[in-house]
Amino acid sequence: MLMAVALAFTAPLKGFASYKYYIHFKDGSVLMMRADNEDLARMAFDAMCRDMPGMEDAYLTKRPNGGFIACESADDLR
Amino acid sequence: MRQIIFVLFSCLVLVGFAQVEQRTLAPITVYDTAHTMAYYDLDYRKDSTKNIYRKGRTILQISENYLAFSDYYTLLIDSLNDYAVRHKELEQEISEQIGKAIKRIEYREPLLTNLLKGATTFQMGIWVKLEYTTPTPQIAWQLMSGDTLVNGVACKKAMGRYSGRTYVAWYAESIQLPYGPYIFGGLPGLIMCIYDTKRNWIFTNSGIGPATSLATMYLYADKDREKMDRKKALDSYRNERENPVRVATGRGLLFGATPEMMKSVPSNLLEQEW
Repeated sequence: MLMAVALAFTAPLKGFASYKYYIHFKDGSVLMMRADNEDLARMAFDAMCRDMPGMEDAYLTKRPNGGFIACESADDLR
Repeated sequence: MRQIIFVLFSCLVLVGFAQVEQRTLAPITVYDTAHTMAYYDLDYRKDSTKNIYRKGRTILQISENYLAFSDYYTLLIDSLNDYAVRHKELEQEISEQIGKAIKRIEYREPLLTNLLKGATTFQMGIWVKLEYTTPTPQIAWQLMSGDTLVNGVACKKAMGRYSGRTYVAWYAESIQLPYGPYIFGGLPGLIMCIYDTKRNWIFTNSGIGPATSLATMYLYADKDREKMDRKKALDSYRNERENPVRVATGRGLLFGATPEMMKSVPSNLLEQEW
């Protein structure tokens, strides 16, 4: 029962991207991003890194203070 | 009573902090299996005012009744994802490979042409997933004098206009497939190289052969993909490409962006007129 309640809250809500990810910048600022899964979060982050100025040292995490997933790398084609 | 409160409190803590992700199969609708693949290197300029090219790899899948065109690495990622779903013990290794492939995606507008119906479905968008279907564009090619070799294959020249750009196409009469990258086709042989005269978008064949892997031809069937007409879709897509942070923030997918981050960026879409 308790597990069912927990899963109901943690599973993705239908129609909404419900997992949270965090984009960290060199100046310490952080953006929160929602995505359906980690791969989609990485794709969106990568697209932002390619398109947006100021993303040179940005990195993506699963938690506000950790859970490193991906970073902008020097081998991009900007 | 204390025990119940403790269990409930523990449960709330779990709910508050857990972000349990289960990898699932890519949400796709399968249309066919390709018998032939043609690979095209892509060089394009995100900003038409700068002479800086991005390099990608695209793939044209060919079956009797369908053509599918997409980024090679997105096909690879979907294939790796589905493999990881079935082989959970390889999750970490495959996740690393997917991470590397994600960084190599350059072409983000997969399309599928139904040859029997003469219709093409386009998909696009990262923050706003879009789809539209139109009659497959027919280009009024002019066959020109001139020949060259592309990837070792003798080619002839043709020129035509599509969606605001004039294209030069080099096609191989020795490969009797009237197709090419993106929606380009209708020439008496496979298009081996095609570029607009301002060289913003350049597709160059890098190989052709029987489909031995990544042969499934599909479109995405995401629950939140929005189907609309061509004009609305391309208006929306151009807005997303030029204002990604503003669009993502407006859709409730990004929080905390500063006005500086919301500044517009160039798009230089392949489609210029709609």
